[in-house]
Amino acid sequence: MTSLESPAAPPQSSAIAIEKPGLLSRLVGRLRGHPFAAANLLLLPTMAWLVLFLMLPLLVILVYSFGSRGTYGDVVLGFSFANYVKAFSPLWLPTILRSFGFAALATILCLAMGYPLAYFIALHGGRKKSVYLILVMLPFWTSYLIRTYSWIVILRSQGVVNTVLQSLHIIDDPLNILNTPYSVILGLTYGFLPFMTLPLYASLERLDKSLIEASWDLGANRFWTLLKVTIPLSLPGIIAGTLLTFIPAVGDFVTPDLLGGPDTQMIGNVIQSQFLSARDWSYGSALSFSLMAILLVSIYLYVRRMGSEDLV
Amino acid sequence: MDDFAIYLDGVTKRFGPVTAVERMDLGIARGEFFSLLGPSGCGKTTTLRMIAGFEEPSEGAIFLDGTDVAKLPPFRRNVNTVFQSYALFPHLNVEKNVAFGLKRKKLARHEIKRRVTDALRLVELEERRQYKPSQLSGGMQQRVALARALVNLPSVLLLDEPLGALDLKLRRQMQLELKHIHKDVGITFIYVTHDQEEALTMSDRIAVMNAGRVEQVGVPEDLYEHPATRFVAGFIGTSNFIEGSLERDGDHGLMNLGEGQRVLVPAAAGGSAGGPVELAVRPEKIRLYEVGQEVPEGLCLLRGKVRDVVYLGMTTQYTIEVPVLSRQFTVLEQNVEAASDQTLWVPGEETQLAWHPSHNRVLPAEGSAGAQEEDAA
Ligand SMILES: Nc1ncnc2c1ncn2[C@@H]1O[C@H](COP(=O)(O)OP(=O)(O)OP(=O)(O)O)[C@@H](O)[C@H]1O
Ligand SMILES: [Mg+2]
Repeated sequence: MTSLESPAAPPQSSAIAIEKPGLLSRLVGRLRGHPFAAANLLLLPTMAWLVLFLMLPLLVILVYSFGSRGTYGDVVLGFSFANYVKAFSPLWLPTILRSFGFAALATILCLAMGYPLAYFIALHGGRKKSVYLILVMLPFWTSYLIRTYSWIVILRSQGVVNTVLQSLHIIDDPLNILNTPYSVILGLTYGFLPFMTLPLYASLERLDKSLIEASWDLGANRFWTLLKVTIPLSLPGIIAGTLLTFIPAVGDFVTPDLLGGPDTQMIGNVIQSQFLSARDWSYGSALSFSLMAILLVSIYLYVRRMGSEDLV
Repeated sequence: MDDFAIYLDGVTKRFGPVTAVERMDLGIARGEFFSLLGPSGCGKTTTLRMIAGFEEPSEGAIFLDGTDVAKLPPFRRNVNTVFQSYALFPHLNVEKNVAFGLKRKKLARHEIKRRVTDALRLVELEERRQYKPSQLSGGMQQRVALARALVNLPSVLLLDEPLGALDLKLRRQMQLELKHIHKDVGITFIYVTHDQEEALTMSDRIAVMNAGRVEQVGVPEDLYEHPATRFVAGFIGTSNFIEGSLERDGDHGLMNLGEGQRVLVPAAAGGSAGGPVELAVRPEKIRLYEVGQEVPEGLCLLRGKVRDVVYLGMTTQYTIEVPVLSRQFTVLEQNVEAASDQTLWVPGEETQLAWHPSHNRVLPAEGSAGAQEEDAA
């Protein structure tokens, strides 16, 4: 939709603002000019932690990605773009597209299920709110690996689903769900649903309930209120939730490994096999970095579009 | 019932064990500026929310323009609310906030634009139409909220303490503006406030509420001059209360204050003879005379001693001890002469309190059975 912004329009404040100066330069600027510079000392442990455990491994991977594989699977440092040329070769294009497609579908399914769930807990949860939240987080109490394994038990030909459907005579032959794209998307959806639900809950919880009443008061029924008030105002939660679901889903290798088949390989499987079976750490690093770059660009475009779009 | 914009018929609202509104009967005429006045927690907001449709009455019926709206959701009722917290949509600019209701009515684009412009002109915010609510001052936000509701031309506009968040000066100014707007648009206003002065200056009629019940409904002068209950006499302005019992003397009512003191009361005074009642006298109706000074015939007269003097500029407030009744009276005197002319009474001075019997208000004693039946009549 077009907006009727006149030139005299005041600056727009959007939910998620893309900061112009980089985070680092702003931090440094603050550290210098701030009258309470001592307070910034409190940031030091966090900064140290980030540098050590986030930046350092990334740096290692970056350095490796320009090297090459030694005879015994070791990394020979160097400076060549050969790995990147290989990484962007058309060979992996179907795999990358599949990864993005699976992750996108899983994200959409998570949003479709997580939004009503978060809405219910935030607005109608009453005193049981924390109970519901714990239920949402309950799957985290067992490992992702085990939870994914259990889906095999559920989905395989003699599994729970097929046994029940057959005994009810709804189907004659067992459905072939396991080791198909369906089972992978299902597994991803299941695995990342809490990552979608929690940020949605946080933003819906913050939503001023009187705004919903104001919308009703002005003649908007439940559907229009959802469309024009609730969803636009929970947009930060939607953005955060989709990112938290999509990013790990794109790079996931456990789900396609366990629930997928030969034609459901995702980019995470490729990277994993480079590090483990092929023992080509340099190539694996280059693939990782390429994936990160593609993700960063798509996230940037996505956030900019969502954040600035006038949804009303 | 059809003559009323809003008619509440025995409306009760309970929240679990709490009764927020109890058996409320109220008819509000079209075009009226009607106020709900009462202390915090007396059920004003709850009443408004039931009219708007956000709460369902536990009992009773609500008629809007003659039709029962009990089953209608808020978005199907022809009422609009100005919320205490304004509840402006933070993601929409002023113009889109105001246009929100009209868009749902599927009006033509140019019609929406014209009405939004008119509404913004009414509240003098035309040049801020592109601003987001967060970029406006509290007073401006209040006016946007008003425009957003008014633009839909509802049959009733509900205002829940709309000026509560504003400072005193802005409040005064907005009170006048609201009055003007009400005159201009001719829509029925139901205005909630706990500020008696605000209610008195703005309203055509006021319902005084206490603990979920309507104590009295009337025009401002009536509530002040003829309060029906002790609560009203104490909540709107102040009163001196004296307990006693009611006696009859032919055409006159006579009230026995004890200690041999009797005062004449208006014949139509409430309460039955012999029953416990309370006498209420407004502080400004009482005049002070020097001891020995001749007091006009027929006035109620008491002897007292000045305890406390508070100079208030326009008036002076005295606290006067009356030994026969062993209680204190509050008396307000106009400062007609300059205070420097030593016209003020000083603490310790003996004095006489006198007032005309027509100012005596006899009220059913607090907590007596009669108190509740009074306002139902
Ligand atoms: N949703 C609710 N749940 C339980 N009790 C409620 C609810 N809403 C109101 N009440 C109770 O009903 C009574 C009346 O509340 P209400 O908000 O109508 O008062 P009010 O007259 O508007 O007061 P104020 O001037 O403070 O706004 C109070 O005792 C309040 O605690
Ligand atoms: Mg209230």
